[in-house]
Amino acid sequence: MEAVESLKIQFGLDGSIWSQYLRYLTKIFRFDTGISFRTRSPVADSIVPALNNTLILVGFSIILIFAIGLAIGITAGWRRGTRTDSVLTLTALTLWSLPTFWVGMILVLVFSIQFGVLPVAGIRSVAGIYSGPFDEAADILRHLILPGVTIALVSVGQIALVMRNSLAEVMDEDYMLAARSRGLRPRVVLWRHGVRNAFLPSFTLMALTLGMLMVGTIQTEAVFSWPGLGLLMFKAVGDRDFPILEASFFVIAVIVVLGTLVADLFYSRLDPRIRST
Amino acid sequence: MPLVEINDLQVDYVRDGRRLRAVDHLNLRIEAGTMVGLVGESGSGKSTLALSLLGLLPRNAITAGGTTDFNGIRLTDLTESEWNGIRGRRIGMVFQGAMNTLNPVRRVVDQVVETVLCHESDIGKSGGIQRATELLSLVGIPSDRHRSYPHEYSGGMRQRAGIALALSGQPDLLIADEPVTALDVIVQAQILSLLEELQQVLGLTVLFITHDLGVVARSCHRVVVMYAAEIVEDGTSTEVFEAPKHPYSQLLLQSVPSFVRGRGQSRGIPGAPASLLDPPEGCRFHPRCPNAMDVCSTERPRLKRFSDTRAAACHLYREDGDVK
Amino acid sequence: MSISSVEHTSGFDSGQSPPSGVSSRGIFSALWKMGKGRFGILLLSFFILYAIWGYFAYKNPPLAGHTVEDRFVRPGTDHILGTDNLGRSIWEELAVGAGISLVVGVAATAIAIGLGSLIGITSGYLGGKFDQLSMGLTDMFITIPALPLIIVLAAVLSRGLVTITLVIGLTSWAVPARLIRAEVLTQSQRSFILRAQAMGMTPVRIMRVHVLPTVAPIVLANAILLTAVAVLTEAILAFLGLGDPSLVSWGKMLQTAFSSGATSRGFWWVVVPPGVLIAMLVLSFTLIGNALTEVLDPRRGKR
Repeated sequence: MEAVESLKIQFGLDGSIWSQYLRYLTKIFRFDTGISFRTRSPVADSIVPALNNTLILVGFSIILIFAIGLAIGITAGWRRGTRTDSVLTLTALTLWSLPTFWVGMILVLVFSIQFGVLPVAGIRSVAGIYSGPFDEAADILRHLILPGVTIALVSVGQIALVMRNSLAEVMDEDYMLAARSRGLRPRVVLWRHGVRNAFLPSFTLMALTLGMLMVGTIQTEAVFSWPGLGLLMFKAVGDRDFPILEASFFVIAVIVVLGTLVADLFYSRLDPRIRST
Repeated sequence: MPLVEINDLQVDYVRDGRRLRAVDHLNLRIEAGTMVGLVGESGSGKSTLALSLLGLLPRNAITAGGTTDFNGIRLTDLTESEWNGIRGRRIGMVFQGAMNTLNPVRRVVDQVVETVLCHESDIGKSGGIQRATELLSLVGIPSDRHRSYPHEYSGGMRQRAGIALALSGQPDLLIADEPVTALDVIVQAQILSLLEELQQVLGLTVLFITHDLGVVARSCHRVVVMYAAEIVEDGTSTEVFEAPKHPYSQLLLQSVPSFVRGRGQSRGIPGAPASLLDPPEGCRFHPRCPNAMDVCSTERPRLKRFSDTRAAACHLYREDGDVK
Repeated sequence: MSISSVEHTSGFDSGQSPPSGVSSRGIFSALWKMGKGRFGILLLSFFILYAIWGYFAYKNPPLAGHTVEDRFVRPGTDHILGTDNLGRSIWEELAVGAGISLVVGVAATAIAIGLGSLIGITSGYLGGKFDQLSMGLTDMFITIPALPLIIVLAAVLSRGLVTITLVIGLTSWAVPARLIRAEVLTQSQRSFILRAQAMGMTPVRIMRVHVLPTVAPIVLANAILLTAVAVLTEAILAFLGLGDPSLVSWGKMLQTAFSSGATSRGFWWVVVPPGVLIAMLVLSFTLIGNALTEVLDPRRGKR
């Protein structure tokens, strides 16, 4: 009985639900995330490195998503109504329908098992002996490729579709016709007038899908055992390690909110119409 | 030789398998250095004509026949890349509602510079900026507003910017498609003065498209009236306004409120504009024409030329221009 | 100048019923005419039939009594798609899983749309403080990332089909609520609603009889697209081990495949089929949903 009581006190589980909740709130504000049930060490020790790894993965994926997604979207939008457009749009829709974790599994099957070119899991090779920082970076990069592509593949569809629709709308604007009437070359008209305007609404929409990106990240970390927040959360569920669960959820939520805020600020810089008001 | 010569031009729109003829066997000549007013209701085909002069018809439009010559160049035969040498450089266009014709996310001067450099790449960035500044000042935009964005301009200023843009390639022919329609009356007058001035100073040839007769009367040397994809009357401003021949032109003039005629004298034109999908048999205006005769419902009148300047498409007139 | 077009001023709408211009028959044939609409409908019909067949054909898949040799058999004459780590036929499991995916997807969406329309319609129509409050709440739910929230909830609550459905439904209502409210705001100014108000109809009745049918098509389009997401989410949850352990679902099959090491051993027949089917089912909903959106809002259609 005493042991249970002392454990309860240690983990802050004594008192009524309300007092526990109050204690939780005050601790959050002091960034005191408590002690992990499992490891008995401070939650923060697990969270911080995991956060780091997740950010690496997310950053890499975002670059991929933008690069490929915008390329597909712009091509489809520029050639809207043609066969190219239909094919690309269908591809984008199909990509969006794929479950991220499954994509990861397939990529592992093909590239790691069948062809053996890329690592199966983790962020570093097991042996972990590096000749220098570049060597380590290269190793991490090798491990980044499959998980990064996994997350990217699904989100690419979404961005491509948004960009395509945005560009298709812009194409009908009068200033596009006016630009062509001045003799500007089609490529110039596309990029400096079309895409430059089409990018704006697609930017906000993309910012809103940050949440979706986290969904993909969590799944990918589970499949590739990437030691990030998603994997932490995933393991915590199985272990019923609530402090870790709460903390990782909190951090993820903060990332998404912050990301949306940053995107909002960035947008107001891009659109001069917003800037002056 | 006229600067523009359009012979028997036919332009169709295709949608859902149906064909709509927006320009029907149209013949028009425009002499260099003149301002020609093209008058017609919406749906009369005038905007289509304008777009065809720049090769900017939408994807579902086809030039079904006829030719258009500009300064000896056969526009109807040009490939897309050949058009690049014409658009902006030889023929320019000013659009209605300049809010939408300016790129909203770029500064006005930058847009002018872009066009200037497109046609004169050898003068360099600073040369481009200088020319752009000159142009914007020429159209009456104060220099402290050059670096603004389009949404910071008033309607009149935007239209001035639109004119500057259209002229940045130094074209010989300027097509103005309803350039003052969206503006209030005072600004209208200002822009019209500007256009008249530019036309004289730069020696431009202007095709002024509008549905507003008052504007045409004031600024244009010549008036061409379009109805239902055809030209129905052609003549100098004086000729057409003092003695309109085609009943449509007559009714148009009567429908404009006028101090001269006094109150209660303006009338609208009964009926609806002819549908281009299913145009009336014979003369397309005959269902609404107060002077319709039997022949009007069966035979389409050709555009009869009465003199160098005068023409009309109506069965009422004999070859010499007198009434039958 | 010319007295041409007949003008529809908003006061001259005839009649009591909202001029909807869309009937279910009309919508269906419009969808059928579109390439992707038709493909989506066919695909979905196939899955519905497949699920029904699967339910009856393999209601009791033989789970027990497999020998070691039955494990991870390659596709062949005995088992069309091979077997998994416990010797169960992939083919059979797929058929049974179809029903689960469909049922959870539709049920969760029903909850989300039900809640979302309730809040969206009342908020949009009644406005005022209530609108501000509920939109604040809605925005909160929109900003909080869904999956992490679902994971936390699913971890705390029991594992079961009902739990999963509820959890997905209760976290997905926010976006539809916003969209429906936006639509309600657009429609609220139309003449038949103003007339109903003038006649003294109670707000509840107006919402039920007038507003609801008018926004119904948009709600339907949203619902279909939401179902696509729900099906995906169910699969993800099952894969993460948060689903009902006793039921076979496609996500669960993939979880089994992963944890039994099928991926690292290159046993592709365990991994590929469930994912393909998930993707195709989601795609069918997405196609129909997109086609429906285009039909209802021709302004946004491609030209």
